[in-house]
Formats: sequence, C-alpha cells, structure tokens
Amino acid sequence: MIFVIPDELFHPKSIAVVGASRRPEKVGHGVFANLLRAGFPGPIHAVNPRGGEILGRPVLPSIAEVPAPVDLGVFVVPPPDVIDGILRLAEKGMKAAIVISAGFKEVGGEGTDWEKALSEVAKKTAVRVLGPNCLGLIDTHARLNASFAAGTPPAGAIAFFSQSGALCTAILDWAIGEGVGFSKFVSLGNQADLSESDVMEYLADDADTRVIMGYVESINDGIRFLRIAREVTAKKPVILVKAGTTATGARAASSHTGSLAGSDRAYAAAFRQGGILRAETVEDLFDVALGFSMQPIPPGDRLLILTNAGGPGILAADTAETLGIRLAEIPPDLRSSLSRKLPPTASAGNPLDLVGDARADRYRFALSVIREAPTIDSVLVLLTPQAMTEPEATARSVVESLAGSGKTVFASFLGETSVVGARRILSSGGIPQYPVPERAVRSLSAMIRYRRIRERVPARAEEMPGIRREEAASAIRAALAAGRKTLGEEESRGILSAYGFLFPRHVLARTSAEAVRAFGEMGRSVAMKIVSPDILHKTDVGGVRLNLSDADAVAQAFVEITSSARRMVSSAWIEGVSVQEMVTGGRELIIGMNRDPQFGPLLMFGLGGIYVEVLKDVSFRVAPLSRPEAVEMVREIRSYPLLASFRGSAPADEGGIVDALLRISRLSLDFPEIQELDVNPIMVMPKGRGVRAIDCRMTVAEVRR
Amino acid sequence: MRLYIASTSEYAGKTLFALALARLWGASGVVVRYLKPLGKIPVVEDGKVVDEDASFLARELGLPGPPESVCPVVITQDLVVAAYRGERLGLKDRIRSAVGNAASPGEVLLLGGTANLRDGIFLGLSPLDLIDDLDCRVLLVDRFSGERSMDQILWAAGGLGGRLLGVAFNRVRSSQFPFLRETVTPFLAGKGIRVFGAVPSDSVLESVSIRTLAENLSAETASGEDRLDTMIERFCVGAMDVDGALREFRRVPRKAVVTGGHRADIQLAALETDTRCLVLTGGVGPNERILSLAREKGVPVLVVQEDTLFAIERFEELLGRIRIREPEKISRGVALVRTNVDVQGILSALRGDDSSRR
Repeated sequence: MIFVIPDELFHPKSIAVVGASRRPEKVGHGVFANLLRAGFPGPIHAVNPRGGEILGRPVLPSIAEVPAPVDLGVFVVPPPDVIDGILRLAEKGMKAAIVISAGFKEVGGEGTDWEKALSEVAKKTAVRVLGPNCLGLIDTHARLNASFAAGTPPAGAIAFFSQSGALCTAILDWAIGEGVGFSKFVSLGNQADLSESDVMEYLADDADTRVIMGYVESINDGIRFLRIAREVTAKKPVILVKAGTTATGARAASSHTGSLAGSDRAYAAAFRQGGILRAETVEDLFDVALGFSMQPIPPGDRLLILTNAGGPGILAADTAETLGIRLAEIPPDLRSSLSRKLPPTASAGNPLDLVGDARADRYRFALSVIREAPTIDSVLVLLTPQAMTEPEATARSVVESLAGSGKTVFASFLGETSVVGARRILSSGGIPQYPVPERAVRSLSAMIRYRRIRERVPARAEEMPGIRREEAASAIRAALAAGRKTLGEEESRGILSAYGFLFPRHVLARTSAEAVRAFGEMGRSVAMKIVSPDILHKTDVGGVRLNLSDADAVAQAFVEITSSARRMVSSAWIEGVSVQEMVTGGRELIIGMNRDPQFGPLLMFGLGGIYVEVLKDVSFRVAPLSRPEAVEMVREIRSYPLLASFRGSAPADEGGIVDALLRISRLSLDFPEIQELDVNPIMVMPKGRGVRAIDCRMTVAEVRR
Repeated sequence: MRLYIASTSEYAGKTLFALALARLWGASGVVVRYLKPLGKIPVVEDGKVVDEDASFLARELGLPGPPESVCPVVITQDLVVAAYRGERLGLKDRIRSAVGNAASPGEVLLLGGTANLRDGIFLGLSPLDLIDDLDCRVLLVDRFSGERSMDQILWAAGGLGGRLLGVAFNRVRSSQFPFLRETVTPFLAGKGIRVFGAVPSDSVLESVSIRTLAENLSAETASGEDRLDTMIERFCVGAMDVDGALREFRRVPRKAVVTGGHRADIQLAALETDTRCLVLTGGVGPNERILSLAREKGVPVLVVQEDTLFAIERFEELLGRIRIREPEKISRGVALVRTNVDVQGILSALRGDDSSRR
C-alpha cells in the first residue's frame, strides 16, 4: 500500500533543522535540543546563517552546506525562508518537512498567501509537509523528537494526533507525569498539506501503534475521512474527541480555524459509520486509550466485578447495565468452590463481594477461580482501602493471577494516599487503573463496542434497480437554467418518481367544481392541499385538509383552503388546490437529506408528527448508505417498536423503508446539485406493500462536477 | 404617431418598454423619439435640473438636443410650492411645444407616462387630458398581480376608450403564465382589450449592483473593490444558528448576506453557498480568515456602522424599486421584450392598419 505520508517523516536517516538557534529561549533551540536529547541515531544538521555551535554541535551557515542526502527537514524560520528552504532541500533528496513556524493562514492577510505558496511548493517538489504552525512530532520508538515540547513521553502503544498544538503540550506533560506510553505524537497545525486522514491512514499499519487517538476541531474532506476511517478501524481502534459540538463551541471553532464546522449530527453519523469511538472529553479519551493500549479486546461482553465493598460494586454494576454490558454468570461448580473458602458474609454472585476484611490472599484465591471461568470475558477489580486491606500486595495478586488469562482486566483502586503505590504496580503490570469504577466500565464498554466494529461487514453502496437517471437530470437542469433553487412539489415529485418512489394520484383543481370532479374520478377519500409558489408551510395557513369523503366536503374544503391562504398570505399567487387520493392504513414517516459541507449528503429518518417535531426522535447517516446501515437507521430510533406492529395489524414494511433510504442515498450521490430534500410525509404500508411518498421538496444549486 | 406608455403602478416597467420598443422598432428602420412630459426624479446635470430616467433614455437612444427637450417639466421643490400657491405655471404649453419639436411627422414619438393615470393632476397635468390633448395612443404596462391588475386595467380602459391599444404584462412568474394565457387573455379580449404579451419575471432585471448597495448603505468596502459591479438579486439575514443559516442560504441564489460582524460562523456558511456579497453590520469588520476566504472566492465584503435592521430596511427599499441602468440589464430586458411581446403588433396598431384595433 502506498501512503500519502512518506516513511521518512517518522523514520528519517538524516535530518536538517533550518533555523536551529543557540539562544535557549528560541523555539529553534528547543527543537534542536529535543532531537539531540531523544537520542536520534542519524546525523542532525543545524542550519543558521550565524554559524557557530549549538550544544556542542557545529552550525552550517546555509542550506547549501548541508551534505546530501537529507530525508527530513524541520523548519523554524519565517515563511519566505520556509518556502525557499523546502525548494533547496528537495534538491538534496528531502522527502518530508515539518514546518513549525507560525505566520501562515492563522494570521490572515499575507499569511494566507504564504500558506498557499507552501501547499504549492509541497505539490511541486512532492515533499510532504506537516504543519505549518504546529508543535512538531515525536516518534518514541524511532527516538525522534522533532518538536519543541517540554520533554519526551515514555515509549508505548498509543498514537496521538491533534489539531490543537496547545492541547498537545498539555497532554504530553500529563503523559510524562503519569508515565503513560506513546508511540507517536503528531501536531497537525494548519494542515496545509498533510491532514488527520493521512495520519490515520499511516498509523493503521504502524507496528508500534495499537490504538489511535486524536483531537479534531474540523475535518476538511469528510468524504475521504470516512473512507479512511472505515479501513483503519477494521485494523485498530480510533478514538477521537471532536471539539465544537455545541452551537457556541462550533462558533468558537469557526473563528479559530476559519472553516465552517459541519453539523454535529454529521460528525456523529460519520464517526459511527466509520467505526470511530467518540470520546466526549479529553479525560474520556485517555481512559479509553489506556484500556486499548494495555489490554486485549474482550472476546465477549460478559463482565465480572470483584470488590471488597458493596457500594463501588453496585456503582460499577449500574454503569455496566446502562451501557448494555452484561454481568457474567459464575458457573455453579466454580461458585461452590468460591463459597467454600470465602467468609459467610461474602457474596459469590456478581458483583463478587469479598467484604471489607479481604487481604491480598483472598483476592488471589478469587482471581484464580475466576481465571478458569469460561463464562467470563472481562474482570473489573475494585478495592477500597479499609483497615485490613493490603493495596500493594493485592495489586501484585491481580497482575500475577490474571496474566495470560486472555481476559480483559481493569482495576479501580479507590482513594489516594494509601493506593498510590498499588496503582503504580498495576500500571507497570499492564493493568489499566481508574480512580472511580464508572470510568473503568465506560472504557470497557468502548472496547466491547470496538469488537463489534471490527467484526462488521465492510459497507458497500447498494445498487438500486429501475432508476431513470436522465429524467431526473433534465428536471434539475431545467430548474437551474431558470435560475431557481427551490423545486416545487410537482418538479420534486418527477425526480423522486424517476428514482422509484410511488405517489398517490393527484389533480390540480382551479375551482371548487374542478375539485369535486377530481374527487368523483378518484372515487374514494381525498386529501386537499393549497398550491402556491409563495406558500412554503401549507399547514400553517390552513392549506391542508385530509380524509374528505363526500362532494360537499370537497367543495367546502376548496373554499376554506383558498380563503384562508388569501387572508393569511395576501400577496401569494394561488394556482389552485391539489386533490390527492388519500393513503390510508399506513404510518407517517419523514425521510430527509441535507448536504453537509464536510461529509456530503446527510440522511435523516424519523416517524412523522410529534416523533420528529417534539421528541426529535430521528437517526442520521452519511451517504453512501449500505443496506445494513439503512437497517440500523430505521431500528435506531426510539419509536421503532411502533413500526414493528401497529394497530394490532401486520407490521410495517421495513424493507420498503430501507429501500426508500437507499434510493435517496443514490439520488443524493448521483446529483450533487441537490442540496436538501424532504419527503414529508412518506407513508409506510403494512409489510409487503411498500411506501408511498405524499409530499416532497428540494433545494438545488449549481455545482462544478 | 404618438404612443403614450402608461402604467398601473410604480416600477411596472415603462422605461424598459420605451427602451425596448425604440431599439426594436429602430432596428426595423422606424425613427423613434422619446419624451417624458412630467419627470419625477430630479437630478442636476450640468447645472440644469433634469429627470434621471429621461436623461438616461436620451443617452441610451442617442437623442439630439438639450436634456430639457426630453423632459420639459421636472418636479422640483419650487414647482410644488408654486402649485400650492396657485401660481400660473403654464406647464401644458411647455409640454405641448416640446412634443411638437420632438418628432417630425412619420416618426414615432414615445411618451413616458407617470406612475399611474392620476399622477400629475395636482400640477394641472392630468395624464388622461394630456393623452387627449396630444392625440396619443396608449400602451398600458402592468406588473401582473391577479385581480388587483384587472381593477386597474379596466379602470384605465374606461378612461382611455379608443385610445388604448392594449396591455403588456411585466414581471410575470412562471407559475402564472398558464393562467394568464388560458384565463386572463380571453377575459380581457372579451372586454375588447388586447394583450400584446407578457414579460417573465427575471432575476437579472430584478437585481441591484453591489456598488448601488454600498452607496445606499454608506458602507465601507473591506474587500472586493474590483467586483462591485456584480449584481445581487436577493438578500438573506443571518441571525440564526449555522444549520438554519445554511439551509436558508442554500435556497437563495445570487444573494447578499446581512449579518453581524462578529458572526464568523454565519459568514462562513454564507461563503459556502451562492453568496455575492457579505454585508457586516455593527461596524465590526471580518476577521482575517474570513477576509482571505472572501478574497479567494471573489466575494466583496461591506461593513456598515448601523445594525442589521437598518441594513435590511435599506435593502428592501432598494429591491422593491429597480431601475434599469446597467448594460447587462438593458440587453437582457430588450431581449425579453423581443421574445415575449408582439412589438410589431403594437406598431401596426399604432399605425392604425391593424384590423383587430377597436
């Protein structure tokens, strides 16, 4: 596989630091010092026109003096010198550059031009660029620290990338303090060239990395991100924190990054479809990463809670149930061998309570029994420091008893002063430990979710039969040629019909007599709706009447609808009233599509009426939609049971809804011109009878294909 | 031959029709002159008070003579006060002599009317009297608005009698065409009123330039000075959340977006859609990133000191009363009249050799 990121970025043989400085307060000094201190084995060339020496190393006065070949360039000079330096070092074989310097897009004005020049020079020289305006990168296994961070974290299995340099420094500081090991640390900066997706793609096949973590504020190419996420998460877990989830946060992110934050719904849907585990907070992110980096993925979701106190055990059990984790059953034979040796006050259930006077040996005994239970996939060991408790000896018991058991083990030793040593023993023994049980359970839940993600079938866009694409294309072309953005019901109906949607019969009536005639031809109950290009929300102006089943009622409804529209929107042009065959015996649904600036078509599904409007009970997915994803979309809403069987009769045609979602997915991919689309309502009929679209609306825009 | 172009309301399209008829008839060899008896948009040019519309037309049509020959009477403050005081104004004589000099026999003289057939009575210049007095035929231009139009047209037809050649509709929306063709035209024919055609509502004609916008808002141009001639068709206000804004912005093409200078999110949403101008209110300019993005996309950014409400009010005023000035609009307008109106039919009716004339 060929990556966007060249291997030289993380594993260079030789490095040039352009802008290395003698003065300790300069960034150019910090970077050079970090490279030396981390013990990079190859040559590191310092370049500075002042010459002289830095930390006992000679400084080359110009790039011309740097001996070829150079694999990696690190730049800590003003923008014009960065551009020039990349051009010159590219001639010496440079494959990758880290641009730490600021003064690019983030300052606006001229900086924007420099950033553009940087992307162009990257393209021209084929040198891949990290940054600009970044902290740099660290690869602990390659002993490479090309950053101005205050120190190097211990080597480990977590890779971290971030769109915020400041967050990088904070996390590094924390990691060094806590002794948490990292494989790679990448600060993305302005992403003039390399993006979060490129880094993720590279890390997927990086042997030193078991889990990928990241902090993102916005994703520029959402479509590529989703494609890469799908591939990467099939290999290893990716946990991301997405900042700017609230309107206020998104506004802050917009002014900070200068890019429009897509809706959080789109991010949520894309993360979900891409198999990305989303952490709500930075704390969450590290809790989960700790679990993945130290423990195997649990083979199943059955958890045993081992504790020396009732309360924490119950808290853990509560959290487990909330997150859908099952508590394991202890097999009867093991349960009786436990009962025989444990004190009578202990409970050989789950949580398995060893009671307050449990010393290390009692833990060791219980763990030796648990180790043998095939019905247990994961174990959470809880400890509260009481008079008889031996925290450190217990920690050692945990490490030793469960080593190589194949079970996923977490610990939560509560308290602080008396458990500090025990925590250290757990960490160095490869057992992730959390200050409170709930956090341990949440991390476990992420690992269980990941097991399902890894096992899922790769998503494939579904080919739909019977689509008359050209018919839809000419309708869209006609609207655009007339300079219109909003398509009326009639035009939208034509496009959806071409994509296989069925509509009830309908006739435009200009007078009440015509309405009555149309009703007579349909011979059953009808719905009536105002037709006016000036009225968008028909119900708000009393423009919709349903279930009219005699001629007088139809004539009366015509008068009422048109009068009401005239009164409420006096300037509106009223074409007439649409008389439609009433669809009965179905349930009202809404299907919509809204094109997200980052992720493309975002599909929405929900049950009509109060379920969408009041309860906001809707599900979202990004197109292309696979059939399993469409099924998930339907089943995810809280009101799904209402579809399974309604009014005591046959269940709704779920297959029909899935089909409709797939057709909308296809339509929105075939026509990037369609910006928004609402099929509202669409009625789902009983099983085997499909769906009927009743009303629809679309917004289109000219796009460059 | 004198054709008085009358309308039923302001901004119906009299200037457009005068311009188009002069161009189109002129192209077929007819000499066409223009005169506006009573001008209501005074503007001082070379020290003389002239009517803005009339002098624009005179320039466009290359008419000879001084500006006052194209518009003999322009409403000024002095004239209005004199009328209140009952002074003898002698305006009719001025008009009569200008009309006499404007065209030779055999040439067609187009007379641009006032907003409706009552405007001018105060000054002793009743349009109906003038039409009779000057022996004009009349083309009535109507901005179509359903039965409200019918009231105006039927009233005018009653007053004009045999002098009315017929009606031409303007700014007709696509959804109104079938009704106009199938119902309105036969109805008017039944009353003896001929319909010469209907010009569709057109986004180019109904637009204003960013320059005009900036002038009317007294706005400062933060970027895009070189693109001020771009035309704006509509405007949107960005005061909601980004999702809502994006939804709204997508529905409206070729627009200006009015929003607070501090709303970077809304400004980005606007730049993401078909936006031709950003109008930032509250005296707060765009941040550097927005500015560079706007520059990249070629979208001018205007900054106004006042609040959003002020900007919206100005906008509405401006878009309600559109005048044809820009070359793009002129050629578009003439082309629309050519394809949608029976201009030869009007000429034949004017010459009196048309059998269908009442």
